[in-house]
Amino acid sequence: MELIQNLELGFQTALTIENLLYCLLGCTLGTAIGVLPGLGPVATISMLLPVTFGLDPTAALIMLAGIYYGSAYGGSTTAILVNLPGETSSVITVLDGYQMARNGRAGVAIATAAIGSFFAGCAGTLVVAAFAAPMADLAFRFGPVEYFSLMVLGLVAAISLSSGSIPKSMGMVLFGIALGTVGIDLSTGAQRFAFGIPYLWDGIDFIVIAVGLFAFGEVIASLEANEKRETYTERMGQLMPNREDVLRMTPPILRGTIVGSLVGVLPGAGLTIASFLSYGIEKRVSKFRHTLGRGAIEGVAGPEAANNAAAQTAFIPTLTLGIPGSATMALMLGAMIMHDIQPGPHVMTKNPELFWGLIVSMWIGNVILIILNLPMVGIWVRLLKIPYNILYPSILLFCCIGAFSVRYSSFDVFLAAAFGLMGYALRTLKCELAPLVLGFILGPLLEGNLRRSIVLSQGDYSIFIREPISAVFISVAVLLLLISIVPSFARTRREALAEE
Amino acid sequence: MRIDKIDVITGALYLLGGIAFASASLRYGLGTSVHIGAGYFPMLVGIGLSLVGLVILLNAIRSGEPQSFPRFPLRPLVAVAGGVATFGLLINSFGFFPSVVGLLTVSSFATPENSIKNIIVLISVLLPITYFVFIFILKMPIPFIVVAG
Repeated sequence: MELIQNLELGFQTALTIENLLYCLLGCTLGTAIGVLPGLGPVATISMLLPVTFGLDPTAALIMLAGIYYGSAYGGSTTAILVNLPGETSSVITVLDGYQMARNGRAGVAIATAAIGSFFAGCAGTLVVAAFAAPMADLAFRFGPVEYFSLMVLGLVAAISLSSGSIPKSMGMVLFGIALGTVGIDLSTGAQRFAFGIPYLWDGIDFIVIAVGLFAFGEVIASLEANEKRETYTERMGQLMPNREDVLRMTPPILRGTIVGSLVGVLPGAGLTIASFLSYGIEKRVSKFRHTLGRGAIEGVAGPEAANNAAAQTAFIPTLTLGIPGSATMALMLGAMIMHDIQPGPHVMTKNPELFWGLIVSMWIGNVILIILNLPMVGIWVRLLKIPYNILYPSILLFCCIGAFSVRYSSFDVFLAAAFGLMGYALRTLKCELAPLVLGFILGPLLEGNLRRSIVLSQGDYSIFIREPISAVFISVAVLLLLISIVPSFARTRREALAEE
Repeated sequence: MRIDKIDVITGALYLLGGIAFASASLRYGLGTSVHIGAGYFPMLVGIGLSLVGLVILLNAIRSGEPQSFPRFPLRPLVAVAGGVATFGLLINSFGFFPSVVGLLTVSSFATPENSIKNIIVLISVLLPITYFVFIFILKMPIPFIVVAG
């Protein structure tokens, strides 16, 4: 069966010493930043993108992916021990996890999170492997018209499913697209919006925006908010769950995995939504739902499984269709483009070792992570004690070197600083940054597909509705928008997405 | 009238930005209906942005929840932006060492908890580590220090 052959190729690629090392590095870094509040996968991947320049593209992607799903593991440790989510995706784990810690069961909580995450991660990887080929097949039939509509749908979905007001997120997407038009337009050769600055002739580099908006902006925001944390690092209790725990954690892990796998594929729906949904489901379905909120193991097992499953399946639209569903996935796409790999269904045929190697390494990564997170928990806990005023200068330094190394030009550094200010300003204005990055990455693609579609249809715009697949995408997008705007649904949506 | 100040600012920014962007894009030509020009897509984006901004602005004035004017604490802003800018200024003319020192010093002002001792410790730890990782291992062509112009 073809899948077996592909997996074989994947194992061959992923098990080379180089790729294993990078997987280990990525998972370790991911766990570390997951544990540390205030430093997230988005900022870290932005920081490390320039470093991956010189690496083999497969190794680079393996490492970056490891950071991404690794952070989903690490965030739960902080959530359980410090009552603070290490990552936004662990927000829900704080609820029951911290209560379990206060009841002296921190070790069991951490173990539950790790076990649930491992199971879900493996399951998610299988889903990716199974669905990759059929989805790519489907995508091969897409022309510029279908791609345009699909990207519109992706952006609309990202807007509807992100927290924050819809019009503001829409504006952020448009603003991102606008930023993407700076520089030379490949189709017409026109030099757009460069304002006579030679450094802008090639457009704004993706790394500069990412580092500026996410890393610098986050540092400024974190410096502004100073928190005191109460840590339960002393008594962890025993690590191993007893038999009753294992029995109780199994149904929520299974449910969480299913929910997470489905949610992860949707653009805009991130890990956080997956964990929220899982908690909501446990509240309605679990036999022990009356104990939720007071240290129920279901409250840790379900959400943690969900967010890890979602972290894996989020790769499906990104790898097969070339459509990123979240800021982190957009960064992954940016990394691929940086290495001259055209994302989309062709990746499977033109770079099969990269594709399958990445998928297999995601499974290997989950194995590495459960080893890192269970026995080595003590190390991560010590990491929590680093004061922020030592951490942030290090972050700034890495980012500066990174931004500079793109073209060895100071202009990029200044530009990154400017984006940092802008990122902070946008945060204060309560505008979401993820839609901006999505717009920035998809903008040029959107324009290219629009242009080609118009040429195909000889100037007839109705082609987007006449072509059946495209019509489906556009209708779903319109439906999503309407649902989000209509008041009654708008309220439900706001409540559901409130904490993000 | 309850005004949502944050959204008023946001809406106004989008509106003005969109108009500016759309008008600037006219310079690049709209092209024909079959072969769209370089300015066509940006113009659409600009118009969309202005419309969205208008909607936000109107909503904010009509029925927004009153929110206090956003505060911009200057200290972290200036320290971080200033530090990064210092790095940018120094790196090409003076090399790695001065720019790292400059960055760490200026950005340390972001929080009052940083003392001179902190800065010195940071520099002595981060400078060798980053030099080793980026310049030695990754072989980035950045001189350690540039003495003569």
